[in-house]
Amino acid sequence: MTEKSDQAAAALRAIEADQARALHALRIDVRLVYLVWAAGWALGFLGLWAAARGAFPMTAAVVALVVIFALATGFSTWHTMRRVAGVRPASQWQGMVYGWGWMLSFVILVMLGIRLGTADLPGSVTLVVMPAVGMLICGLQFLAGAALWGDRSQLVLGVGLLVVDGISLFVPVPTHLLVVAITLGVGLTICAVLAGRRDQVAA
Amino acid sequence: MTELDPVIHPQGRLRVMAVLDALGTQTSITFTRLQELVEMTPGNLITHLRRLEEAGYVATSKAGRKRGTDVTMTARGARAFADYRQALRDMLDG
Repeated sequence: MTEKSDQAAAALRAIEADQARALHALRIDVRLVYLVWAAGWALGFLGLWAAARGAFPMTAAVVALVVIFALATGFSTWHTMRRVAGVRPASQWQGMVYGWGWMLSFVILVMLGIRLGTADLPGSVTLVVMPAVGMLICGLQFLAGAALWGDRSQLVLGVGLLVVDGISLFVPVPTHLLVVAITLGVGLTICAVLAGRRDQVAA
Repeated sequence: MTELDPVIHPQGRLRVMAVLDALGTQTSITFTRLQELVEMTPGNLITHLRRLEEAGYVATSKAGRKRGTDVTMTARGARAFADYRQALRDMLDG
């Protein structure tokens, strides 16, 4: 190999290394996001299940679920914002509509919860409807995210949530809450491990 | 043999172009974040960006006092960088 071709090879390697380092610094670590949400769904729904079985008041379990989900949302948002700070795609329209979609959906979910809570309905109805609608919202939002940005990790999340949602509807109350806690807790942890392995292979 | 573009060739500018190329022509990045990614002093980066902008390879725009300057690779810059890489590959092949 001549000196010139040596230099060319070194320059090409340097370009690839610079690009890989830049993309790595900007990439959202989906392993962390998966793990945080695995813990969130598992703990939140275990709490609901335990409360439904009389371990502690349902109000406490619902408050705990809201706090856990708020923390998980806060972490996911903080991590994403930190990684993509200073980078702006040509169109921010998609991201804005997507973000509003999450917020408005959850406002409606809270309103539904209040409506069901004040209606003269058996408690088991609320226990079935609220998690089912919540998972439906999350599943559809993740599918929208996957479609907008071609993001396979969101596709996996969306499909997974909808499948678990569908299955849970055929499980007796309140065991369906335990099914959601275990399947999403374990499923998202598996997703985190697989994402970690994929990153190792890519590196 | 294809000549290597002298605007891109210096190590600092090559690094800036590599990072901007990874982002694509549709994505802008703030000066501060770019500086962090290419690990350069502000003075060095300003000098390199000025030269790249003169060649039409990058575009800069002021995006408000808080946000500072945004930097984007132009379509011309993307073509020049693709040609530069091809020239390197040609050197490897022969």
